[in-house]
Amino acid sequence: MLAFIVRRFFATILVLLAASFIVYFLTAISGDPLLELRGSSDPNAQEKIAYLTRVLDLDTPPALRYFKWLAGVAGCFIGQCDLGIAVSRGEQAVTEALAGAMVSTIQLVTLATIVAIVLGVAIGMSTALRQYSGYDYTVTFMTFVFYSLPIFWFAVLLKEWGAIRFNQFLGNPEVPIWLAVIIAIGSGAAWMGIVGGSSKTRAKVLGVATAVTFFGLQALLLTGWFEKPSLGLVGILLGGILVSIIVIALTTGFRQRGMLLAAAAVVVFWLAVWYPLQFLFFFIPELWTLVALVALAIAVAFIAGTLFGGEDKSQIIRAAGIISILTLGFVIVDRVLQTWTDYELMIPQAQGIISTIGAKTPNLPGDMWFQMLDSFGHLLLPTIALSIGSLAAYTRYARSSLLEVLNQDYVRTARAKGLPERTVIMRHAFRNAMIPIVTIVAFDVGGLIGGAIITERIFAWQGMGSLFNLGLQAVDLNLVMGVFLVTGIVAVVFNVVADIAYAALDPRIRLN
Amino acid sequence: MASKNIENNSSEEQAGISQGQLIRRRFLKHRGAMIGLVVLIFVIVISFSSVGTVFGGTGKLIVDASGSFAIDGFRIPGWWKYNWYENYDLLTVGGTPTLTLFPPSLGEHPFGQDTLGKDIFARVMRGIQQSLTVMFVIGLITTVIGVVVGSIAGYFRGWIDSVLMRLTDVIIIIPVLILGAVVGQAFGGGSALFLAFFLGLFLWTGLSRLVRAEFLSLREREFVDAARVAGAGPGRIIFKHILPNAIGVIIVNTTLLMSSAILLETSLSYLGFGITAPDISLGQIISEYQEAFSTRPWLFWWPGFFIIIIALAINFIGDGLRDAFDPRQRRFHIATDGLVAGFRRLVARKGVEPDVKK
Repeated sequence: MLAFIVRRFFATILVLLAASFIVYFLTAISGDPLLELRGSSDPNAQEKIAYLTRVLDLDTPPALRYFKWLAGVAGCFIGQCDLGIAVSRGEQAVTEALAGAMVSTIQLVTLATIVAIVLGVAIGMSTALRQYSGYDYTVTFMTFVFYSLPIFWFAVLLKEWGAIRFNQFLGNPEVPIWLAVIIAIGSGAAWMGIVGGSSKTRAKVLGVATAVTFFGLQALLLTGWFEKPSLGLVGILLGGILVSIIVIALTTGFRQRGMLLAAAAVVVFWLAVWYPLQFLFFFIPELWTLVALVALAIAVAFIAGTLFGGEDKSQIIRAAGIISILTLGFVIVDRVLQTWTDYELMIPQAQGIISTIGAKTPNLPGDMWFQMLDSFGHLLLPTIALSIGSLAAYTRYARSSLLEVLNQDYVRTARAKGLPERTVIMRHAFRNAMIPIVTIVAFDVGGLIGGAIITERIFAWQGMGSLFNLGLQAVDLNLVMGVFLVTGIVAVVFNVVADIAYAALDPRIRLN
Repeated sequence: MASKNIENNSSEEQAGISQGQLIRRRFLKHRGAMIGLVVLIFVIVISFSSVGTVFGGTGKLIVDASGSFAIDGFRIPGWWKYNWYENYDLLTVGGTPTLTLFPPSLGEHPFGQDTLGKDIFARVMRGIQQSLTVMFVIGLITTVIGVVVGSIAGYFRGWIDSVLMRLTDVIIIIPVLILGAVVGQAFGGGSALFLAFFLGLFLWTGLSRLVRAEFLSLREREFVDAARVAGAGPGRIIFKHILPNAIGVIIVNTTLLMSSAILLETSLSYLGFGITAPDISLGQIISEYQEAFSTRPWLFWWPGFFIIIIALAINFIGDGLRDAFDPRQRRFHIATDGLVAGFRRLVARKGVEPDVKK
């Protein structure tokens, strides 16, 4: 293993050197960085040209200049990075520009990846379990469409419908009755497809889901929820029950009394501490408060699991931990939503909650909760745009992976010895089906860091992609190379991670 | 592969049907693929026949002495009365589309006009031509290079394999955007053929890895030993014995590559690094008109619609081909299931060898 990593490390360095040379050379021949100055009528143009030629060392041929640049990069190993200056960004040091851009890109890419994985795996695996059903065919067709969707085109639609029209809707929430009926029937049909079962069950699910959606929507409209969304104790309770049902259904099943008690205890705990927590949230709106609360969530789950767990202690503690953290999530969402009205007053009138420009509202006053709501409003649309393609891919991978595993002998064996279907799927099939997905995700993330160029441009984010774009347009070699260095390293590192993860998860694979 | 096909298709097995016929028959039975094929052919025919096309020349817009526009090169006219580069009088207020379904009629400007009066139908048709050209040329070049590199690496192994695979690693991390910038800024850009050729030189890496993995497993088979014992040289073994057995992987992946190629070309053109004005591609049209979305949505809907239609049609064709070539996946029905198998083959490159004994 160690030998493999060492060998891969040296191979990786060689690959990066060769690729960076090619990129440097290609960028250098792609244009003239002084083109604008040469044509300008500015009396100082000659001086500026002479200055830039000296600063950027333009008289040296690109092939030689590359090695000078490389010497600056080598300085990183002794703590003195010199990636040159970015002329297109007012002669800012490239390292500085990168540091700023990396934060917003990593934020965007991380969120998009998480969303794509969670949704993709959930949808893909549920279609595999409902193979050949109408739900399966619909989802498969949708993944084909998402796959074929040009992101720049889709993003413009998102801006129009997801931001402008949606903000108008929030300003004046009215849903015409025909639209409400269509939404309700759509949701009913989706649930029917997911739950499946006999035609009687399906009819029942269709009816219940349609009615719940329709009346729920009407209730939200009547109470003016969309004007001032909030969760409150009722919302947290409902959310807690919902996640409990999902987590219990996937892990231990409802026959397990200890699990039910532990879940109830955890949810009740968060409801009980909700009021005191508001003071904590008000006086100490800091990141470490959240970290401490997550630790508390785990501790509570541990205690509840130990108390009620009985023989299946470890499994119940794990499930209760998930429920606890998710319920804590609802408590935090509730706190963030409390800032909604004040936030709406603080942002520019033309803008709305869902923003299409940049990573945050500049100079926004207010504590962490304001910033969180602000980030959410800015992250929502770019995340959708960026994750839609990977979502389609993961859905297809997850579906085919689970189907492949379900055809294996060990799954038949598990069924034959009478294990409940949940155990067969979650313990025997799901884990093995995840192996290829983990490696695919690792490959993907490497490419995604640099792949957010279009998304960043459309939503005016100042990330790595927009730096790269700017550098290319202005033939700013240092900037392009700086971005390439980061994205290239991330890409090859994640490739190695993918290889190692594959070997670590599947003992049949050997690394050598 | 041959033995698997026979095993799993005993129901379809009949005397006198060759492997090729079996595959063709399965492909023709795949409804999604057939619809995709018909749609794609329809789009190709209508785009090239309607506004005609231009061969040779620089493809640049030229203005002659009388002030009328023309395109440099040999122009073949089509049946549509307008072309994509001239400005016409605005016939309706704001240039709204005249296409109606009831009664079905194209009208003067079925897809509308832009502010200058250019006919959007003609522009979109020309854009489709360019995007399709890029797509097919990329498909052709990547297939040739990918197959040659992959088969040499997979067949000879050893140091040749190491060198070629490291070369692949190098090329795979070069950002495509840079290639677009080089073509656009250094070589004057414009020409779809040139852009496609250049992109094709860098996009073969995925295919070569897949072909190599396929060769690594096929070269250990008995029929290859038999050919070698009979005195066949490497060239003959590669092209006559192994390659025909790997053709399924190659065709399917080329198809999928082409569907991503059209998205790549339109994205590059959208960012201004691919096909740039005055030349037209679907991405370039969207980039030019995106600000007009709220006032003139038709400028935006049609090019996007055709990108999706083309990519979707090709994806469905690829799906059908995969079903046809790899009937093992028939029991999963939808051919996307080949992806995982394909991925496992992809991982089976230097460093990680699947040690799976079946």
